Amino acid sequence: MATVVLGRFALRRACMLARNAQKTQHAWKNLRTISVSSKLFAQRYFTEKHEWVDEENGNGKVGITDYAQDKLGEVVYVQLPEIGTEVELDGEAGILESVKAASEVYSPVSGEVVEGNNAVVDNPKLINESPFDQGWLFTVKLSQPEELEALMTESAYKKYCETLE
Amino acid sequence: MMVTMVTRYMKIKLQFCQQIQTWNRLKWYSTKSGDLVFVSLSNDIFMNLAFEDWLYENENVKAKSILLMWKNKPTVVIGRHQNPYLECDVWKIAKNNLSLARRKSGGGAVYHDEGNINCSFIKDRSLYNRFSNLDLVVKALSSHWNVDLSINTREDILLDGFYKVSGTASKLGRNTTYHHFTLIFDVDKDKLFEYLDSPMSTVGVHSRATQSLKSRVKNLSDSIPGVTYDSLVDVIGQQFLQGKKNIDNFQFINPSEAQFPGLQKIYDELCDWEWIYGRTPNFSLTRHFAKNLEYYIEHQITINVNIEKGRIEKIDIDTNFNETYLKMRPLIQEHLIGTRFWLNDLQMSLDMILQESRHFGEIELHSWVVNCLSKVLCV
Repeated sequence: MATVVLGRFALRRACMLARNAQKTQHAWKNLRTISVSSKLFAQRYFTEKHEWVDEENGNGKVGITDYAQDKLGEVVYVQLPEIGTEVELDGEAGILESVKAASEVYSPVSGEVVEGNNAVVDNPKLINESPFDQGWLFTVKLSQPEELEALMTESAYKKYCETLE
Repeated sequence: MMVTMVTRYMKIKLQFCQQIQTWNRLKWYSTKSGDLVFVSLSNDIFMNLAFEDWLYENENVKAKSILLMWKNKPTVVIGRHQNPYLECDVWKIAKNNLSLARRKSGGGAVYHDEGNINCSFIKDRSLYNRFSNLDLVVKALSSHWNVDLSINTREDILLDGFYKVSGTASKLGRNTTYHHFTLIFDVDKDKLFEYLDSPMSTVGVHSRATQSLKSRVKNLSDSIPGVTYDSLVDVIGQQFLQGKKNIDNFQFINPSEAQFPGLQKIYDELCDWEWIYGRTPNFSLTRHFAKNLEYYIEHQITINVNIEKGRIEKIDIDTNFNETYLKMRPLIQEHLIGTRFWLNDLQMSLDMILQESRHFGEIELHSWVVNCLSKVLCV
């Protein structure tokens, strides 16, 4: 009897230990993935013409910068490139209309358009209100990721903007 | 084998010759220093817009700016992202053989006739400044005539501080831009209001397209009696060239494919139904109807039509007489889905529905449904 009780106790203890061990390991795993992906997320590149690209898993999410939206004024209509179209580096990729002006959007990278931001089509003002976040325009599957190397980092872009004013 | 080689050689040679021709032409321009004024001799809106676009695409405006002026036959011109059906009376325009053009620039709908001068400033992006272009015209006119002109915050030119005489729009590319505007000096104002009034723009329309703002307008001739197109071209052109007008920098041009290779392609694109109507931002029309039919029972119907790329994409109909309507439903779907939003096409489809629905009996009810459809579609 005593051995049985002892055995059950030992078994429960062992299970708990094992569970805890698993837990800690699990938490560790999570932590690691977070640290890895945060490295992937943070890469944002800028062009001299005030477009930005976020690189993530071989895709580039494209938008215009705060400087560009300020120059444009209130955006009233957004025409995005259709999904599946091949855009070229510096090629036309949609149009933004603001205060009677139609401004061409140029893609800072080459590749196939895989997604468009329908939220800005429905509510063009998002580009003015949140140019770096909700006001993104389209995502390109990068055909030449090395093109990103020619673009500016955030700090370089900030310095570049200071020279403009 | 030989034949293909010869034809290929000829093709290459032909391309080469064309290229040389283009270079020669560009050299012809670039040898002339300073800004240029072109006055188009065409009065076809599509040709003038194509010529403007050709200059925008092909000219190097780094060293010089270009002012292009023209007038054209009665026309309605809408902005790049506008809905023609909601901006003007599309059916009347087609019936009376006017032109309807979609510009590549933004902004609202305008009416042109030969009492209107168009000015287009084609410049490098670093020189893009709409206010200074408008100011140049205001200065030119007020230095020549006793006229009260001002520019408001929407960049309209106002006469006597209140009446709009000019509508502005622009297009910005990577390096090149153009800013063009109308200036009405002797436009038929009754026609202007008649054509810029859409029968469709009442209730139940949902559209994200750029909308025009209605303004009170006046002609320059109300303040400058006897003003003509030629005098305006001369006065504005002189101001642009800072009084240094000569035969080299002030030219009358009849735009042609021979002189401007590629012009015809732009022209054809601008005339294309798919560009003018097919590029209409998606929109929907919704209306509700009720009528006492057959022993005074009230019949109700709500019709919702979605139009995508200028074609009917979807029709949703709700009724309180479903049993009868269900017989008609396939007919409506079959004949209307995919139909171009164009008077003849729509009329033909509605006629077919009416004819084929006769087989179901209850003619009064069916023709009422078709009548409701035609009201929604404004045919």
